[in-house]
Order: sequence, then structure tokens, then C-alpha cells
Amino acid sequence: MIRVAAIADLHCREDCPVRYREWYRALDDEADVFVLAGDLTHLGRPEEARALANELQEVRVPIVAVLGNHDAHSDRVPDVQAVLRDAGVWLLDDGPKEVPINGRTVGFAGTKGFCGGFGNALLTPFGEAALKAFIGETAREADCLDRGLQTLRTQYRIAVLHYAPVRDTLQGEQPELYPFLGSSLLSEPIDRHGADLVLHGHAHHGSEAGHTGRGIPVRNVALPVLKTYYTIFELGS
Amino acid sequence: VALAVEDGSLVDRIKTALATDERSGLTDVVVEVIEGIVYLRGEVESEADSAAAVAVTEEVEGVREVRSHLSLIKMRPPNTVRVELPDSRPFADDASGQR
Repeated sequence: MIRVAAIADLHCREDCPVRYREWYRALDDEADVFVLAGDLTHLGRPEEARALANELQEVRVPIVAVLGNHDAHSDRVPDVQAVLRDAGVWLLDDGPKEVPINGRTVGFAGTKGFCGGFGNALLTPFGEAALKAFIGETAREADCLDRGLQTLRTQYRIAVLHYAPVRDTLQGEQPELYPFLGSSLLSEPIDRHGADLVLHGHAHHGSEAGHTGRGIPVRNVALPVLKTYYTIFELGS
Repeated sequence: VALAVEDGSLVDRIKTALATDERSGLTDVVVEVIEGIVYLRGEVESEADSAAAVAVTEEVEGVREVRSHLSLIKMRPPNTVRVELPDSRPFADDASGQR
């Protein structure tokens, strides 16, 4: 059995008022790998990333992560990434990660994702340059996920995003916000290449569970939704 | 109408302050302004967050009074979810464990 612990939206600040390490100390016994699905920091400052790295230092299982919109806020993404890499976190922006677990292999592919809306309400790259750039960003993120999933050759595959790839897990959010919480463009590579599980965050008032068009399970692991410091997903026998 | 516009602007400024001030850093707080009185609602992770939200809001220009209805998120122990895999996974010939 593969045990994947996951959480998103820790929003760690420099003073880190919540002592995550108390929760994560037990994680090694309960999970085989730890996934962080974005918004690891609050304002995207390296000092915040250092505070989180400090809280994660007792975790011995592999940690894979994508960044979120908050991690980009201070325009210091490379510095935040460097701190996390130094702490041993594998950033899926650097490429997919294959993790051997109990004689099997689990592959993780992921990226931050972006906005744009869903289904018939998906924004199209038409009109002003600003709008084209906006949806172009989503398309680039979807391409990144596509490349990652395409290269994975593992028994289990898990896609990790910060933004939501489906509308299901946004239930509970204001519908006016849906276009800013994710995009169905992100679900296309998942359905194209397949995955066993999709993890995302960002939708603090959303719902926990949903599916892509092809029935692949999608889970919103935003901390305010889970109201816990991680959930463990068990795959296989 | 003028009052509503003014209060709306104040809500924006409070929400921006709550999100960007290092003491609070909160994006989930619901802010309502009624006749200059600010009502804060929602869930935060710690007492420190709750106190910081009030302090930051009080410093925003135009705020006369803050009434906090913030509550602490009731955190649960980590839970386990079983992910059911279909008998036939349409995307992979993974029966042998390779692809």
C-alpha cells in the first residue's frame, strides 16, 4: 500500500505561530511521502520559507511540492525555491519525481497552475493582450503538467497543483470567484495521460472531493478545508 | 449610496491590510462595515492571529470600531482516505508494475 500525506495552504509566516513540527513528527510512521500543494508561505518571502523548512526538519520521508500564488507575491520565487531545495524538498517545477515505496514506484508531476474558469465558462485567448496573456499563463502551466505526466513511468501517478483543475472541489466558494480559483485547462493533461489521484489547494472554502471528466479522483487539501495538518491517501493493496 | 461606496472602499482597504500586514497575514477573514463599525468574521488558526486581525484593522484609516466574531479553526487529528483505483485503469498497462 502507498500512503501519501498531503496538505496545502500552510501560509507559513516568519514567526510561524503554528508549530507544525509537533504534527509532522509523527508523519514518518504514518506516510511514505509528503505532498505540499502550494501556498507554503504567506507573502512569498525566503524568511517564511526558512521558517517552514525549520518546521519540516524532522520529516524523514520524501517531500514533494508545488508553489502557490502566495509564494509568488514578493517576486522572490527563485529565493523561496532555493530555501526549499536546501531543505530537501523536491519542487515539481524542476521536473517530475519518482519515489520508490515498498517495492513499487510512485510518480509525482505538478505545477502551480493558474486561473481561467471551467467548461463552457473557460476564458478564451481573444481580445485584449492582457486577457491573452492571462489565459496564456494557464496554458503554459497546463503544458508543464502535460510534459511531467507524459514522462512518468511509474506504477502510480499523482498530479499536484495549487489551483483547482475541476469545479467539483470549489463547491462552497462564491461562484463569482471560480474563474480565479482554477481552470479546466489543467484537467486536460490529467485526463489525457492519466493519473491515480490529483491533489490541489487554493480553494479555502471549497469541498474536499471531486473527479475529472474521466473519473480521476481530485482532492482539495487546503488546510482550511481539511481542518487538519495533513490527510493520508492510501492507494493500492 | 454614497455610504455604501465609502464602506466598500473601506472593506477593500481592511482586507488588503489583513492580507499584507506581517502581523496578520490573513486572507480568509470576512469583513463587513456598517456605519463605520467593522465586523470581522471567519476562522483563524490561533489566538495570536485573532488579536492581530483586530489590531491591524483598528489601524486602518476610517475605522471607528472593530467588533470581532472570529473563531479558532477546530483542528482535527490527521485522517486517512482510501483512494479506490478502478479494476482497469484506462491510461496504463500497469498490471506488471511497469510502464
